[in-house]
Amino acid sequence: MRRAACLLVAASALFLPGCWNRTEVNDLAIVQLSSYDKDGDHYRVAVSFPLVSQMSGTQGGGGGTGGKEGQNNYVESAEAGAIRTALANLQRKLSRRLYFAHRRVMIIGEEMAKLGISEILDNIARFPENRISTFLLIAKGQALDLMQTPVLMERIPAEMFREILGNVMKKPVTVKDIIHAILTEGIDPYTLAFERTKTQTGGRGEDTIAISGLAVFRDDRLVGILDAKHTSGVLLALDQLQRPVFSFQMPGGNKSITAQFMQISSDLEPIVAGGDIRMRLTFTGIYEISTNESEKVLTTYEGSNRVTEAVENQIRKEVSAAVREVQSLGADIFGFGSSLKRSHPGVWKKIGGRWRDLYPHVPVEYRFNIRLEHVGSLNLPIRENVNP
Amino acid sequence: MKTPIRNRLEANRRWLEERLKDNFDVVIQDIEHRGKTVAFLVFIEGMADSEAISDHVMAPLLRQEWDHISASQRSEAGDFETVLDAVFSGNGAVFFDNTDKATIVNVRGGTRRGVEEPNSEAVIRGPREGFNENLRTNTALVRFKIQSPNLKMEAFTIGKETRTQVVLAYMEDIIDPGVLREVRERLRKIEIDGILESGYIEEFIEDDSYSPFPQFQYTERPDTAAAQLLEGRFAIFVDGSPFVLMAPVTLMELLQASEDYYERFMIGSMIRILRIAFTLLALYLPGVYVAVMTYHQDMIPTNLLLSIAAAREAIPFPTIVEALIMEVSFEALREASIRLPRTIGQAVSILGALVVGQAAVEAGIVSAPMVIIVSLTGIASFTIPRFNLAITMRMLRFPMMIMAGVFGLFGIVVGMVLITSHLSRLRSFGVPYLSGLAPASPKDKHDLFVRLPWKRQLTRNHEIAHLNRKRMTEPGRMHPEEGRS
Repeated sequence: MRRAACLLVAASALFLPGCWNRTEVNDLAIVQLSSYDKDGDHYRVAVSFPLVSQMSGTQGGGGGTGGKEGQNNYVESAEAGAIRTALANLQRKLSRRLYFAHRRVMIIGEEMAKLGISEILDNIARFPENRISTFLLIAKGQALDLMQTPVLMERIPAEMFREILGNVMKKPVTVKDIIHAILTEGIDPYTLAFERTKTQTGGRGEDTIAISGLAVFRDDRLVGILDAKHTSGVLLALDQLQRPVFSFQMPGGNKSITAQFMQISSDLEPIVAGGDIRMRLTFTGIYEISTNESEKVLTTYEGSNRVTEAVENQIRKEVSAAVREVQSLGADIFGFGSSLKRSHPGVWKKIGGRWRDLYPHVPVEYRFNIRLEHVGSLNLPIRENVNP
Repeated sequence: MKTPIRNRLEANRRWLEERLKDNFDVVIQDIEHRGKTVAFLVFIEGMADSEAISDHVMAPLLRQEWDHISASQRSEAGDFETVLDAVFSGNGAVFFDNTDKATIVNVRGGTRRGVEEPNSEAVIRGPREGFNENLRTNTALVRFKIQSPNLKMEAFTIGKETRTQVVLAYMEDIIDPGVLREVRERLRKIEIDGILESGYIEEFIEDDSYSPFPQFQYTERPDTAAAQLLEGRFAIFVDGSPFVLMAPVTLMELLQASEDYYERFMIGSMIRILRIAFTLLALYLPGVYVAVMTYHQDMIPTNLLLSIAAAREAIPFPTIVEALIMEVSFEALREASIRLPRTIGQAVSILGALVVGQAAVEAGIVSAPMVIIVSLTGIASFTIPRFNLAITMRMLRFPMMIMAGVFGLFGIVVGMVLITSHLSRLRSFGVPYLSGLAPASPKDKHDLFVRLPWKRQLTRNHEIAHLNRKRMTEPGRMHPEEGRS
């Protein structure tokens, strides 16, 4: 009897306290994408989440599921004097609870980024439902505008951003990387910037998104967005570029050759000699020749050496121009300072305070350790065979 | 209180007629010689073999060749109780005039099911014979496997009314004498009017009747019984039941099937690992699904979550209610199909698949992912080779689901801790239920999660056969080159 009473009390402890914080998935708005803008002194926060009921899901029947663009996505925004308040205002307009654990990409508008992003980052890192593994990127112009761009290729727009980031960079920049760069001495954050463009199908193009360049920060403020040419050079120096391609002309000729890297990595090594500090970037990789109209014999030692040397020169030219550009912005996104601090803490103690002044003038030298691995199925350029 | 047999035939016959009246199947047959009744025979029609009676009892009696009756087996009884016991177990009893003893002759017969392929434990590779309801057949089937005087079979009679014969079998040189003493003691203590199935014995002598976990293994297969005897376990045969009980048992043991040992070791090991994984699934999967879907949506990959969310969009019930509805109807479906004749059973499974599966999903009452979870759980529970353990797992997943519905993954962890602590406390005849895992015995690892080749299984289970562990001497190396001529 006593036993039964005890059991009853124990069992009712399961149900009575009412501490059920159970949430069914159909009460959640699973945010995939969010954007932050600043209009004057107001923040504008927007979220985009899929309308799961509209997604082609259970009912497999019939074709023609194509649907109109933007149909299965819901975008809503709200304004307020603080980010949290804006979010609360946003929630007031939605029947489902905003759920940020599955957010894949967050976009910050150019204007806001120029004023500093640490307030947003604080907001995110404080609340565990916000994953700091979310990719962060910058919109050229208004973030809300970029977010609203209809995406035809993927079911969810966030997926489009994510896949493009993954195609271009080895390790796309996450919120965690940015926070880390802000908090670490001698390194500044960077990420990719996107813009809204038209597809180039001739005539009228559809709206779409594209990479606009690399967003370079100094501390938490955006100081510039590089152009496409410099972007790939900087990414290469950052050891972030996926399978780069270089097309150029061989010295003494006017016909082009294309080198496609299968893998390439870069290594940064600070060198202190006497009172001089320089940085050495070493590139290691293997490449293949994907077009060749210039060099006749690639299979000989001399031929491949000549091509490799030309590839090295090309890389040196592109990367050094890009690195100089970043240096002129005064943003140490390569972490020259932090690597110097790690390898030569004594030197850093003396010059660390002046690093911001020294950084733009640090010389960078380039070493290469690359090799040609495939020349393709052709040996001689086809043109050579046409008319002997 | 025994009633002695009298000297006079008439008195004996009257006593028996009085005791056995209103029994149409009892036959009392007089033997006359020169117009005078010299003897009579008592037997039960149907239990005794009529051919044996006419050939081995009646014929010699009529020829006055007393010594020739029932050449195979006979004994003498001095009191009526012994006679009745014998008669009711299918023997015949002959009373002679001027003798205060009765001769019991073994004419047991009657029709019983023959040796057939076991229903509940089918194998692809392995012997096809199974136990039946006849105790003698069953003991003989095991004797055929183990032809050694070390295999002992002790007989007990249990049940005041049913007088059921129960046989305790064990390998004298392997079994732990302490276990043997204990089981004898427990068997002697049983006092009940009737034993109709080995399940009665199981509940009387198991260590903890209030544990959901089975503490006996039962089998219909003589090869399984023989294997367990050789491991140092005992077996209990019950007359009238094709199931033989075996103990001491461990959890890992219940997850092993006889085919693990008959197929080559890699296949056996792979299937065993698969089975262990699915056993865990059968217990935890619905609970984990409920917990993750209602508390920890962040743990699911985004695309999967969106698919599940799309499927759940129109479902009127919370996930936990949905899960309980589906799991209960699955159990009902399973129960219904067992009781039905095989021909109707198919109709039930069609109804189940169509009504519970497809129609319910299309009507938007349950979501498709839930149906997948339930069927996966069902399949998982059918991979458990022992029905009694499978039913335990199926039963325990309901409290796990409720814990998950109330507390999320935290509840599942609490449930796991409760189950594990219960298991580590449980013992079967002094052997820890989790032995192999806890206490971990590295010496038994050759037959735990994987089964190593027989050549490597030099010892028996250390926990059970701890007095006689050696199974074989190390086999010599083979020389592949020398096989050719």
